[in-house]
Order: sequence, then structure tokens, then C-alpha cells
Amino acid sequence: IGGTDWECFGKKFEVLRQLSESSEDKVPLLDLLVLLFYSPMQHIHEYARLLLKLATCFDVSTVEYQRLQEGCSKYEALSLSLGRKRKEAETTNQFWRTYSGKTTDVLRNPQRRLVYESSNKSLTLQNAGRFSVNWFILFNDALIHAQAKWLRAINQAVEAVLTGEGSGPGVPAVSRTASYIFYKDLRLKDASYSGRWLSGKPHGKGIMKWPDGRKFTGTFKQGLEDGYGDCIMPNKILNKSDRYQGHWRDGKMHGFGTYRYATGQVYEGSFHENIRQGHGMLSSGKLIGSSSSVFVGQWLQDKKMGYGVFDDITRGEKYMGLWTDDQRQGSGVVVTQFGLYYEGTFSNNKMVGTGLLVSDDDTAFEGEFSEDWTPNGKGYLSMSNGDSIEGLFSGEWTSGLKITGTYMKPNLYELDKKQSTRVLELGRLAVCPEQKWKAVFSECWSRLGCEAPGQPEERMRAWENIAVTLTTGRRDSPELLSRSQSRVLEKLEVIPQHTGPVTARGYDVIQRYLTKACETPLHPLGGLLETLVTVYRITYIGVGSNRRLLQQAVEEIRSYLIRIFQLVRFLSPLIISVVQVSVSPHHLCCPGFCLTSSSLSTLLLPVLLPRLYPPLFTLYALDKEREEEVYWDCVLRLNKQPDLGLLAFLGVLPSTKNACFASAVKTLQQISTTFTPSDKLQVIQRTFEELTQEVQALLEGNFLLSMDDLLPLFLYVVLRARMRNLAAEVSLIEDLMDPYLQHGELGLMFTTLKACCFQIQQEKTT
Amino acid sequence: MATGGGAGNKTYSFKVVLLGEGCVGKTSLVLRYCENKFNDKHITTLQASFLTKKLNITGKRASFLTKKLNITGKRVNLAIWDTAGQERFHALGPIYYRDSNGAILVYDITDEDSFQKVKNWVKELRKMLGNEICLCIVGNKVDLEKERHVSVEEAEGYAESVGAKHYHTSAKLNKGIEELFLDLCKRMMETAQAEERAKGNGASQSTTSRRGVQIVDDDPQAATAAGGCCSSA
Repeated sequence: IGGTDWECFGKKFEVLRQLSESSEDKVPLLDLLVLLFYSPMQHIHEYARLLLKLATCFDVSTVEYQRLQEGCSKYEALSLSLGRKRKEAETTNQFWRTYSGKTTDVLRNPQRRLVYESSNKSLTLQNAGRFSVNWFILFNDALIHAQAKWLRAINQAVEAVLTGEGSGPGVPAVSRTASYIFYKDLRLKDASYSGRWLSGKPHGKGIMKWPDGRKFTGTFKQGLEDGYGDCIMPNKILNKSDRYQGHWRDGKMHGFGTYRYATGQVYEGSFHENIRQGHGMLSSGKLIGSSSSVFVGQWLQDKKMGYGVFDDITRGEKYMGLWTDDQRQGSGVVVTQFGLYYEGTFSNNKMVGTGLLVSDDDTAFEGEFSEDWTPNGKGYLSMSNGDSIEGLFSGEWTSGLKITGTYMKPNLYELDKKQSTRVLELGRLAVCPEQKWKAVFSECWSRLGCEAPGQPEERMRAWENIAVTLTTGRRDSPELLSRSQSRVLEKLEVIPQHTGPVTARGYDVIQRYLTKACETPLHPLGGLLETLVTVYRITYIGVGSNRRLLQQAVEEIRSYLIRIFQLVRFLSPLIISVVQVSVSPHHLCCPGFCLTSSSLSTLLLPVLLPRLYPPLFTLYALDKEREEEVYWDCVLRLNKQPDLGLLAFLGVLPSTKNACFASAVKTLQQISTTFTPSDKLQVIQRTFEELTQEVQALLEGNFLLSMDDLLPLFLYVVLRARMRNLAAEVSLIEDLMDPYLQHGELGLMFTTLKACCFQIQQEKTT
Repeated sequence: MATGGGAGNKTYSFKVVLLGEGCVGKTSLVLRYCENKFNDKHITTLQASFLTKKLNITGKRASFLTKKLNITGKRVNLAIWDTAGQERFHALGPIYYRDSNGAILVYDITDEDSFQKVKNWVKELRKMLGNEICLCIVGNKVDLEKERHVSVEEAEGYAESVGAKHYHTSAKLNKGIEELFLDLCKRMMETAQAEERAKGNGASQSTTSRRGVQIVDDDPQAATAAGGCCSSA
């Protein structure tokens, strides 16, 4: 600062004076500023003294004492080094003030420090002309005009520079925020970057814009995109942009992300080094949702590979089967919006090989296919009335088949037609449930940090991974989490602990943890569940809502249960023992039967089934459509009778004449508001309890109902409850209830409901 | 889980279904066996429907009763399912007797029709379940010998001809009931063991299997709960 411009400080000068705490009035501004700039240096000494004082509070042998001492000596060293630098700066300053050379401007440089000059430390040039003036100035980085003292000084100065001690002020900070346009880097040529830097490379949050319009907003690591990022990539041909929002690693799309193509397609799923790989969903329409064709399944090297479901809206078909290189290849099932069902083998995207085709009216063809919907070769055609044709077939299913074969009419001499109708055996040629959605499960395992299935020694690491996932998820969450949400996440990081013998409490602890984990998409288990619910819905909603898929849908849920249980058991080995000695309430009501199966369903169905219930129940309802029709007809007809008439019609005891069993009826109606078989069974149980109570109140004293009387009574309750889709409810409970309950009292109660449902359909004829 | 080894601590769980016309005494028979209770009144005045005594074993219904016993060192849990005997509910039979290990077919010795009904049941059970189910034909109400309408020879002869055992019981006098159930249990155990052997050892004890024997881990309660009546060496 040469010129002393008072004006540029204006009124602030007074502030400066106050800051300097100087009492003199007429201190030159320059000195004042110098004083102010140096004042922080004075504090350093104070810090050192403070630390020293603190250290005396501790014993000499303690870690704290050591640390404080260390800190103190560091401060002193800093103070010394700053003092030295200040001295250097002052001498340099002094030198420049008195310098009379002409090259000042060239030499003057803020970083440059004077080391020696020949006017006060003599340096003479040998053989120099007598009158020539040889003036040498040695700076820390240059020797102007250029022996023992001198040489040493040169060496020292060089060394100082090399060890970095000499780097004075003006060096940029290691980490900072700045903008820059790249010009050399091949990958980033002409790209402009603004954001965080670390050691000369983009690092942290930032925005990178390429001259071609590409723009990346997100996090960088060592100059490469890494972490979450949003990238827009213009597509010149379509005059639109591709957009990827998701995870990056080493400058490549890697991990989970959403890619919106300029073409309108949207891919949601896993990436591996810029390539679609793992589980993913590709929707082809304009919007994600019902109005677009959707593929969901496994990808390998940017191609469909393994099990996948393709909902093709242009053809009104849904394929659920195996893929190779984007082609349907291997076993698969196709259902169409017109109710056609095909299961069999595919080759080169076509139905080729053995297959089974069933039309909505139960006409079925099993044999060789050569094209989509085109039988070609040996086959067996069976019609819904039981007639069949065996022979050689050709032609398309929809436009007439050419047949050379034998026609059979098996029912000609048999009166009992029901017996001889061949029951269609579906699912044999479909993909087996454990082969479905493998990538979804392996991604969950890899999120836990292990190969599937995990080894016990990997357990702790898996829990650490869960904690890390939850913490980073909480930190990086786009929207602010509420306090309770954060608390849930925090709780999930804690391994559910349980020691000692297995008790109801221990079971509860795990059940609670599981419920919470499954509700939290950030948790690996919750994420898994979310994906499973999505794929299940995509599979069995819409065209997939076909009654012939019921068995496969149920098997798929069973397979989920087994595979989720594997995960849960790995995470908490205790679970297996807990489940064996089950303690949930309804086990207690059948003391005659202790638990036999490691009941997956008790633990996992309550978390899984409510989410899968709508598509599953629809399938059950479709499957029982015909029974429902008969049943409902009868329910409506019989319900026209008054209470007394109906009771008498059903043969209920005369002594219970005046009852209407309203509370039992109400209780039973709750069955359709529950999801899991165990909840439904409890509703049935409560209904029986209500019923018994009402009968007792009527007959005074404690009476016992034998089945002879219980059945008509319960039948009455079922009729009055007027429940839609009862047969579907019954069928669902039967398929998914704990097998060990079947022989218990709950089993009998359920069987009685089933019997009533059946009986109501029989009443049609009476 | 218990393995298929012969001895050891395992418990057999059997489902036994009670079939027979209404009023032949199905419920009374089981009540007498499981609870040693009998109420004359419920048979005469209330069409065999309500008992005036409260059971504490499974609530207040007599349609499902369980019994634990100990036979030759092995524990057996019996779940006895009552059914409705009325003719209009005949079609519901298969829903109830599915997966049963044994069936007790009861007739009233004073009622020829009820015996005919038993014959129908036997035919149906053999057709639907084959020989895997152990059948017992029971002539109940032997206390009313004077009014007998089904001859002993005919009944026993018929039972033998269909591979079933015949018993004479009286729920009222508690006659022949212990023998009936003990015998049935032994037979069901034999069938179960034969089945186990046929399946081979190890994994065959598919614990999830709906049908047949369920073999479960030792339950310490079972030892004490087993009624003294049936324990034998």
C-alpha cells in the first residue's frame, strides 16, 4: 500500500482506529492497518499460554496433558514461524522502499522475499572491473545479477522452497467453491463447472455444463460424477433430451436410477457402468402407468435377460417368462385381454415348442406350436363339455384350425359328467416361482453387503450396512424428514436384541422391528418389499387379472415368503427359534397342537399380504366367479325370509326362536376388512364366541352346542351376513393359513364356514 | 424338529372325525371320553344338543375336543371333530373328513336307519380316502339293549367285511368308550409308522404337510397333561 488514501476508508477510519485500540490520535493509516493485520498473530501466543494453563489442570501422565502440551508447542512454533515471516516481509518491504534499481516492477511480487543483498552482506565479483558496480540481490526464488556465505544462502533458499516452507501467502485453498472452464481435459473439454473443488478437481456438489448442451447437476468425487446426480443429455435427432436421475460412480451411471429417454421411454432400475443391468422397469408409453407398455424384470448388459414381465398394451397381451437378449426365450406364460391363456416354450420371441393354450371357455389345446397362437404338429384338444380331439393340428387358433385326428366323446355312457371332466393342470410349463425376480432379491442381499444367501459371519457387516444405508438415506433425503420419521430410522439402526429363553416379548420385538423395517423404503428390507409389491401388481393387475393365474400368484407369494424369511433369519438367527415356539394368541387356543412348521406365515404374512391383497383377492374372486353367482343368488333369495322363517327353514332349534344373532352377524362381516388368514380366522372365532354367548343368554345357564345344532345356527349367521365373495375368502384363507392350524379348533371353525359357503350353494335346489 | 427315528420324544397328532346320524350320541360319546361328563337331559329334552355343564377345555362348544394320551411311551394328541348329522348336510362330509386319520361312525342300536347311514358313510370314506383312514363302527346306547333293533352279528359282520372295528358303547354308562379310543389311537399310530417307514427317514417329516401325522418337538406340558386314564407301559 503506497498511497495513503484516507478517503477510500471514509468514516470507517474511525472504526479502524477503535479496532486498533490505539490511544494516539495521529497514527498514520498505514501503520494502523499494519497493526491491525498483525493483531491476530499476537493472539496466537495467548492461545499457547491458555493451553499451557489448561494443561496444568491435568496430571502429567494423562492423555489430555499430552494433547494440550502438543497443542501449546504447535501454537508456539506457529507463532515463531509467523514472526520469522513477518521479519522477512518487513526487511523486504524496507528494501523495496530504499531500492533504487530500475527493474522494480518486474521484480516486485507479493510472494517474493529478500534474503540478502550485496550492499549489507558483501559479495564481490572476481575479475570485476574496478568501476563497475556489482550489486547482487538474492530473493527466495531468484538471484539478481549474480560465493561461501552466498552459496549457503542460495542453498537454503532453494531448500526452503522445495520443502514448501517458503510458500507464502496467495496459494489457493485446498477446498473451495469456484467456477472454471476446462480447456485441456479430454472428457471435460470446454465444459464449464461451477461448484465445490478439492485439490484442483471438482469434488462435492456442483454443476457441469458441456458445450453440446449436456448438463450434470449433482455430486463429484475427484473430478468425476459420483453419488446422486441429475444429468440432461440432449438428443439432436429428436430435438429432445435424455435425462438421468440417479446414482453415479466414477463418472458413470451406476446403481439405482431413472432414465427418461428422448423417445418417451422411461427406465427405472439398476445401472452398472452406464449400462442397464440388474432389476429394472422400462415403460414405453408417454406416461408411466396404465397407459403404457411396461417391461419389468432382469437386465444384463443393457438387454432383457432372465425372468421378466412384459405388459404389451399395443397387443393387449402380457408375457411373464424368460428372456434372452431382449427376446422371449424359454418358458413363459401369455395372457390376453380376451381371456386367452398360453403357457409353454418360446424361441426367438415366438411360441415355439410344447405349449398349452386355454381359452376363456375352458377349451384347451396342448401340443406343438410353431408361431404365436399357431399350433403345428401333434396335439390334444379338449372342449369344455369333456369332448376331445387327438391328432395333428395346424393353423392359427383365432382363424380356424386344420385337424387330422380322432374325436372322442367320453361322456356318452356316463351320467356323472362332473367326474369325467378333465381338470386343467396349469403352471407346469410356467417359470417356477423361485426363479422369478432373482435380481430383486440379490440386490437386497448386495445392499446388505453379502452374496445370497448370506453366511452367519457376515451378519454384523450386514447390520453395519443397514445402519450406513439408513444414515446416508436420512442425510441425503430430498425432503426434510419429520422428527418421528427420523426417530423411526434411528431405531431401525439398532439390532433388535433379545436374550434368554424365547418369550412372547422376544417375538414381539422382532415382529415390531420387521413391521417398521418393511414400512421404510430406505431399509433394505423395506426397499425389497416395495419392489416386490410393484412387480406383483404389474404382473397380476390389468390383463394379468386372469383367473388361470391364481395358482401362480399364490405360489409366487409363498416363494417371496421363503426368500424373505431367508433374509430375516440371516439378520436375526434368533427368529427361527422364536417361530418354532410360537406365541401368537391363537396358538394358545389350541393347546392340543403345538406349532410344527417354522411358520413363515405368522411372522411375514402380516407385512406382506396387506400390500399384495388387492390383486390377489381379485384373482380369487375371478376364480370363484361361477360359485359366487350361485351363492349370491341363494343369499338374496333366502334373505327375503323373516328371521323366524329362515331359522325354521334351516332347522335351527325351536328354543332359539327369538334370537336374531345380530352381533355375530356383524362380527362375521368384518372378515372382508382383514387381510391375513390369521386375522380372518380370528374374526371367525369371535363370531363363534358371540354366537355361543347369545345362545347361552337365551337358554339360561351354561349349555354346550354340538355340531348338529351349531351348523344350522352358523349357517343362519353366514346367510344374514350377506358377504360378497365368500368363496374367494374361504379359498384364500385355506391356501395361506398356517398348516398347523388345520387340525385345531380354528381349523374346525374355518371348515364350518367353508361348509356353510358350500351348503348355501347347494340350497339352490331346495 | 423330531426326526423319523422310532423311539424318542415325539408326539403324534391325529384328527378324528365323528360321523353319524343326528341323535345317535356322537357328541355325548366324545364328551364322556374327554371330560367324563354325561347329561341325560340333553339327550331327552333338547335333542342331543346342549349339555348343562360347562367345559373348560376348549370354550363352550362341544364340537371340538382334544385329548392327550400316552400310549406305549408315545404321546398322542387327538383332535376330535364333531359333524352335523342331519341328512341335508350330508354333502358337507368331505369338507370335514378331509385329512382325517380316523373316523368314528356312530349308530344308535335302537335305530335301524342310523346303521344304514353308517354303511353309506363307510362306502363314501373308502372311496374318497382309501385304506389310509382307520374306521371304527360304534353301536351306541347299549344301555337300551331292550330296544335293540340292529343285531350284534349283523353289525360286527359288516364291520369285519369293510376292514373296520366294531364297538359297543354307552355314553350314559361310560361303557366301552376308553377301549374304543385307545384302540383307534393304536391303529392310527401303526398306520402312521407304516407311512413313515414307507417314506423313509429324514426329510419325509415334512412338517408342513397338511395330511397325516404331524410330528412335533417335545412339549413339556404334554407329559403332565396326559390323562392318567390311558397311560400304559
